[in-house]
Amino acid sequence: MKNIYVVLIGMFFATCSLAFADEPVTDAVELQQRSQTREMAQFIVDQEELPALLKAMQRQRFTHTNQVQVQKVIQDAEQEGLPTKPLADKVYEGIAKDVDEQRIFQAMTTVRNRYAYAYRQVRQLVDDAEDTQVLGKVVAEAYTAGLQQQDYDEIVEALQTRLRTMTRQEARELALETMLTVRLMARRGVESVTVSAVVVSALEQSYDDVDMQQIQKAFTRRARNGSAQGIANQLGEHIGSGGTAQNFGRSSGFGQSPGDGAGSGGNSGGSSGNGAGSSGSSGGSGNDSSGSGGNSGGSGGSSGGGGSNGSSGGSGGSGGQGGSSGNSGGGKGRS
Amino acid sequence: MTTWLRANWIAGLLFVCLLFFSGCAPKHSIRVAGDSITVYCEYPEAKKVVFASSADRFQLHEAAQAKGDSWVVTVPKAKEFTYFYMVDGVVTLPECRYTVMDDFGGKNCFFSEEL
Repeated sequence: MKNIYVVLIGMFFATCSLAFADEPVTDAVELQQRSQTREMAQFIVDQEELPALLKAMQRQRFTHTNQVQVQKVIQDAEQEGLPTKPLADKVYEGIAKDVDEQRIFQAMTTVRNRYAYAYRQVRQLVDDAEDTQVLGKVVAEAYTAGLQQQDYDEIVEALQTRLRTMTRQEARELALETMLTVRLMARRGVESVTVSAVVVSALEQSYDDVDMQQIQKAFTRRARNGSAQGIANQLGEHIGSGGTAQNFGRSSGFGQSPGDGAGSGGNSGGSSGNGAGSSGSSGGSGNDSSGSGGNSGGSGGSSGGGGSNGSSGGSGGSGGQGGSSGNSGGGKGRS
Repeated sequence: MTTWLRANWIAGLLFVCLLFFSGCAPKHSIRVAGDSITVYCEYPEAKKVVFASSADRFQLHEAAQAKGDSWVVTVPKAKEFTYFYMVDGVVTLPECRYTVMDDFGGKNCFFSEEL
């Protein structure tokens, strides 16, 4: 009978561990937000490409009126300094999905309005045209991923307060890294209100652009092994309680350097609930001998009150300091 | 007797869980190799599967049937893109982890090397 249980349990975990198999197989892909922003040159539809778009619309038998309207929206956007590639892409996407031409035009207008709004807001933060393009794209993409205007407005307000005392260069760096953080979290499915709370809190705690970068890296690493929402909640609590970005990176349990206290990951298990008790499981995979503990913390987060058993984060091997408490579990779990 | 009943109850529960979570099986995966990206999906009943992404203006790439119920398509590598399938002419999303709005009232899957 015992053997049957073992087989059943094994099959259960084997199936679920593959739940998110669409994650890229490439390991060691570092966060390269900066290089990405340099690719903005490809952002505008080349005038030579308009005939191709026109041909695509004709193949799809767009009415002449709609063909003209589409071109007009693209040309107007260009004159306003808005990117036109996302607009053309929306038309191509609609054609690929065999969507009615009127709905394609509406969707294209929605995209145009989103970019126009994002650019207007960004112009409150930076005055350079190139910076506006870079930031505007990031913000518009955050909206596409689920960021809400109201939440974004709060971020802008907090950011404006910070930027007043900064040099131009510092301001643009902080604005960019802040928005990249926002987009990253939104894309990972973190609720808009949480994204805003975390970022506003970081700005209020005087986090600078380097801190924001560290947040991005730590968040990306940790969210690969747990619920992004749960990690964002933990991050918010960490920042709110005066924690530094560096400390949050260290507590990820990945041991950035040997003896780095990698075992401390155990104390995060289940602290944020949201079915995310598994976040504790990443504790202690630190390099070499640093921190072997923490790997069972938070396993119960999915039950809502779970995660209270994160205490096993403690061994920490010979190098790590070990996650000593593991007592923050429980509380907020939803399902 | 009570122990035996309890054991059977637990075994039954585990079996039900197993059936329930069989939906977790990998019905979709993305493999990055060199300059190309290979996308796999499982649509057992499908007659025709087409892949489209923002990486190349949503050109339609017909997927080839691989082993079992799998369909596979290889496209040039891009750092990030949104995508979807047309399965027998119907827009279909695989079990992707990240999604974004498509502005047509639905969603697209989203892939990024960063995430």
